[in-house]
Amino acid sequence: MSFYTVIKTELSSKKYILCALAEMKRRGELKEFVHNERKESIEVDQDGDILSIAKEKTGNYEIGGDNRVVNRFSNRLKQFYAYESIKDNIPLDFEIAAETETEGEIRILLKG
Amino acid sequence: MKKQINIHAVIPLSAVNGPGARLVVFFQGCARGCDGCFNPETHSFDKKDLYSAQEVFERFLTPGAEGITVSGGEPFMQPEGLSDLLREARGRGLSTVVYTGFTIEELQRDEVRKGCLSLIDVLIDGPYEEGRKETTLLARGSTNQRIHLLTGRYGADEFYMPGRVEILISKDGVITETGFGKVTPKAVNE
Repeated sequence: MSFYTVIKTELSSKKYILCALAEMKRRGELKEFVHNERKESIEVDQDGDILSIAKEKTGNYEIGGDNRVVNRFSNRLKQFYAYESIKDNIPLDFEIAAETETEGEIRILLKG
Repeated sequence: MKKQINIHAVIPLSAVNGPGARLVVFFQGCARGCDGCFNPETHSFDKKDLYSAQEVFERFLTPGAEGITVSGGEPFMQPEGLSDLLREARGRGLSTVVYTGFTIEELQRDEVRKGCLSLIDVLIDGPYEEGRKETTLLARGSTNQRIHLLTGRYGADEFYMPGRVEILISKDGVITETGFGKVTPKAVNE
């Protein structure tokens, strides 16, 4: 049998949130973001829509702001968060063989 | 009334579960208990998602799929449902690949299971043996498992995959991992 598993992404690591935001900025999907280390929060300017990312009691980061944009932004952020954390944690005996993005879905093939 | 199949999960398109892009159906339920099995969550026979064969294709088949791969769980523990699924796939012009923990000799001793073999292009048989883990890109879990080309549709070389593991990240950040190795990124939820 082949392996199958599903993992729901939670925004728990600031490091990967910042990596994901940098990737979104690089792609032009957000204008700017500012990390406030003292407050453990990040302010995001998405073409005039201001969103805040802050750590909750659960230990995970939550996104606040206009409901019209929060869900879409949150999903996209989680997608890049997952992408960045996967890339950073590939076992040494594996390497990326191919990487594609089709209809919004990111696909990574690993050789090992 | 068509048989309902107890299904663990479906991946609409995968590149590492047999030749080309394939619809992959993981059956729910297996009593074989192979040590080190990739998918212990599929062992229970409790009902998970019930679909008829027709519903599987109506709901999950997407353009670009050249065939169906049936994995599990143990597909031959639902032989009537498996037969329906394979027949429906054939009717739609799709190729059929099935993974099983049984050997082909064991399947041939049972009339219903034997009947499924005529609907399969390629059968990968035999229990998973952790001590004989496959280390190449050949699409099998362990080296004792045999690739039976039951029709002329595929050659053995087509079972060398472009990758050992495939990771899909959906639009909402849900990660699906499949293939013949486990690279689950711990840090995603830490």
